[in-house]
Amino acid sequence: MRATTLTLLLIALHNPALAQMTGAEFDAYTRGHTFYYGTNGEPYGGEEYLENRRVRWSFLDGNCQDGHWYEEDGMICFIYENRPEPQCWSFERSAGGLVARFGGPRAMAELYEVEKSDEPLLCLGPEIGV
Amino acid sequence: MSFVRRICRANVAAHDTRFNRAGTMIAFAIATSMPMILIGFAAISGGAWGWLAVGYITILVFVMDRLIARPLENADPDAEFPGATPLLIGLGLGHFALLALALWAVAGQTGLTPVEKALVAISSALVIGQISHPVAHELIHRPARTLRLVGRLIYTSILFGHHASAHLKVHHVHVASRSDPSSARIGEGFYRFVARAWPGEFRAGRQAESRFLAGRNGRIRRHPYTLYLGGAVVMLALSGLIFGGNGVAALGFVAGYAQLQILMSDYVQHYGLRRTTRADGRPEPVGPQHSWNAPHWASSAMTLNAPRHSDHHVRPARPYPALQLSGDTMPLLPYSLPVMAVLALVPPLWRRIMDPRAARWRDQDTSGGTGHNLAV
Repeated sequence: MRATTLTLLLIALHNPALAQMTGAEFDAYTRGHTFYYGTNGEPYGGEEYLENRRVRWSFLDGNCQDGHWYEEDGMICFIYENRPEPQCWSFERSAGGLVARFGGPRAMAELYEVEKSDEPLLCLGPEIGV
Repeated sequence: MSFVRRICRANVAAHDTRFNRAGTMIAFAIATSMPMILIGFAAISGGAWGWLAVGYITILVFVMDRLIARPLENADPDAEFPGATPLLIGLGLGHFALLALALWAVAGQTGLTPVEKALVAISSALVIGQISHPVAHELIHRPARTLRLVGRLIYTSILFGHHASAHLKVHHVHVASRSDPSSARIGEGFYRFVARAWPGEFRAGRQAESRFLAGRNGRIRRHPYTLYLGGAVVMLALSGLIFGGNGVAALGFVAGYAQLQILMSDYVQHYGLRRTTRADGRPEPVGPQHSWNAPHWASSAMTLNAPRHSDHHVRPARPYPALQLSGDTMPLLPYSLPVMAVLALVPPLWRRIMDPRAARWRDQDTSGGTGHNLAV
């Protein structure tokens, strides 16, 4: 019985894809990096993760939105300057990197990490010099 | 990580080409400002004006909803309404004028009779609960910071500031699940809901704001609850200093009655609807089937389309004149929103009408990615 429990525990530990990331894990994995996400084989957007859970998001069109994230009920919720409603995602770590699932409203396909970079996001907006 | 972008204009064929945008804005403007004007006259000169103000919000809207049938119309969901924000700003400023005038009429040296004072108190509470609330609600969803602040101040002025935080950071995230204090459970009566939802919203909103600010500088100063509680103290102190104990009592009555109506609209708009739990343990995404709606035009005009609630939850950034309504995918209330609110005051009657309807929507298999049918 105890061996079975131990085996199950080890399987769980060795299979991080099953686990939803906590805020601390998400922070440790993302802070100081820029991530590029894709969905259904298409590029979707990129996000730069800064200190104090600040973020900068772009749909890779040169426009960037500054925001913050926080942890809410196991999800990572983002609030951007131009949009007061939180947008919550659950993040998992798979062998290929981050996988994000939108928490609503509405269903959408998963986003997955395409590239992890140490370069800042490309922003051409008027408020941020390039 | 953002979900929202200018989404392609797929599926917009549902809107009505004959939809009259200017006419719609004029209807919103008249339906919302008329009762405020009537209360203004009632506060200054008493007489029949108080009866007219109360009669407008209750009987006249009820009669117009019932007698004048209008076809259900949807605007182009991406249409722009240049008058929408100016009307919100005007009504938002009107709210503060109305509240000050009502406190003066009820507690000041106005020479009004007790009946006239009571009519001003009741009609202004009705207007704040059914017009200022939708105005403040629209404002807290706006991208512009100043507009959001005005929305928060409107809720703060009726001692209900925390609703602004709980609505955005709790209700929109957790709607139709156990984690949302503002989503009424099936079988839950209105009075029990009030006792649970008021403190539940206060607590959940505070916790969400604290998590949002955690680890940042100036947490207490930047915490919205500092504004809400500080603002409530200022409101009570000003009412007491200017109008004495009667002023505090008048504010307590108007604010309390308005708060009950805000809780009532949450109660009616989500009663008994629940998101199903998916295989991964998370609730299904929010869809049109998770809110109750009503098509009645007069009460919709007076409350800035508040009864078009499903679309608001699916597309919270869509301005009020463009909110969509579809009887196929969205739960419809059997009567108008104000009538449902009256029915909810009698819990056994409410349950007899609503429980079978809520059960029908809960039984539908909606696991297959709902929400796609809704015009985007």
